Amino acid sequence: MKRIFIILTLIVMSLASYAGTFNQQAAIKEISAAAAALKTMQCDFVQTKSLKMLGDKMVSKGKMYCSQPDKLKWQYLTPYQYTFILNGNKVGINKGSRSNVVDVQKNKMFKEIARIMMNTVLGKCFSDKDFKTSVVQKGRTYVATLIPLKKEMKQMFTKIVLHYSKDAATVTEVELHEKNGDSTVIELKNIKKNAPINATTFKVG
Amino acid sequence: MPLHLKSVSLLILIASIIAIDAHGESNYPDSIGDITRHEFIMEMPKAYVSGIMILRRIEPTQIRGSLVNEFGISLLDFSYDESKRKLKIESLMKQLDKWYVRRLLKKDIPRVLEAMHGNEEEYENSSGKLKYFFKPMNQESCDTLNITAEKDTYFETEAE
Repeated sequence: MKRIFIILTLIVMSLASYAGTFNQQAAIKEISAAAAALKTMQCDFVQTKSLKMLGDKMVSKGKMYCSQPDKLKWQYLTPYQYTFILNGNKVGINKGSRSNVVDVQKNKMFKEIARIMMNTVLGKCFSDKDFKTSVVQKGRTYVATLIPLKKEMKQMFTKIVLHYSKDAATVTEVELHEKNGDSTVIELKNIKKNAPINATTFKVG
Repeated sequence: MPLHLKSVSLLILIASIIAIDAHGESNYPDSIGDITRHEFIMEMPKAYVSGIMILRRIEPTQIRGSLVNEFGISLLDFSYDESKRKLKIESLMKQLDKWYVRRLLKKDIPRVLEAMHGNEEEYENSSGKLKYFFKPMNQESCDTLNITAEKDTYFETEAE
């Protein structure tokens, strides 16, 4: 009995010491440093939208291209075709035969969407003062929960959760949780970092 | 039978099979639990809003629907009572939540649903200033969760 007690005490102590070694600030620094080193990124994505009221989910797939500091192409290929391109202050939207160019400075909603998409996939939200951040480690993944502090963001999301792979040194999953109980999970796959991307990819209009 | 007549007969047969199939496949949730999805565009004189409209029949005369943009962000959740032709807005994106938008949606969405039910693909509202376009989506990539919609929980969430 005494031996079991000693073993249990050792297990509890080792777990406590393991928990104590996790340093949230160090994790944020690690993610931010990786984001700063990321000049370009391209990947496939799978987006799963869960609709709470309808008890339904919808899966969309596509490709994402990103070039720091302000270029992003988010292209849905199935089950619908829709392309969103951010290039500086301009956003280009292509849907079927329709194409539009929007000035992000004049459209708050697009500005926020562009900012969320870009900063979350790159893992850049941590330097942002727009969120209250907490990070936990699960295996080789940091799971960061970001609670919006800004009004525009609070109107859309209750929280954003980022999954950062320590091995890949990049964000691999983004969860967007909305006020009405809906959520969207975006998984990033086949990630290529710092490979050159043709400038025409981000051509708006 | 000459070869060209055989070909014509075959074409007529194929066309009639396609017609039967198209007629048999409804783009509207007819039975309880049915879900349909449409690509959706609301076109205004100088702009448009696009997204996906998802409909689910929850009772013989009750439809629930959601309009989400392509990024998956919810724009509108509603319930529609077909027997009373009455639309209730359950939630509306904060940026769109204006009295005149609510009034417009309450008036136009029931007409849009009726047009969808009739397998039409567009509706122009009575003022002629707004056009709605809707096209059934390929269902292959859309998975359905067999869970019951949690009405009470949803309303609690909305009330917060």
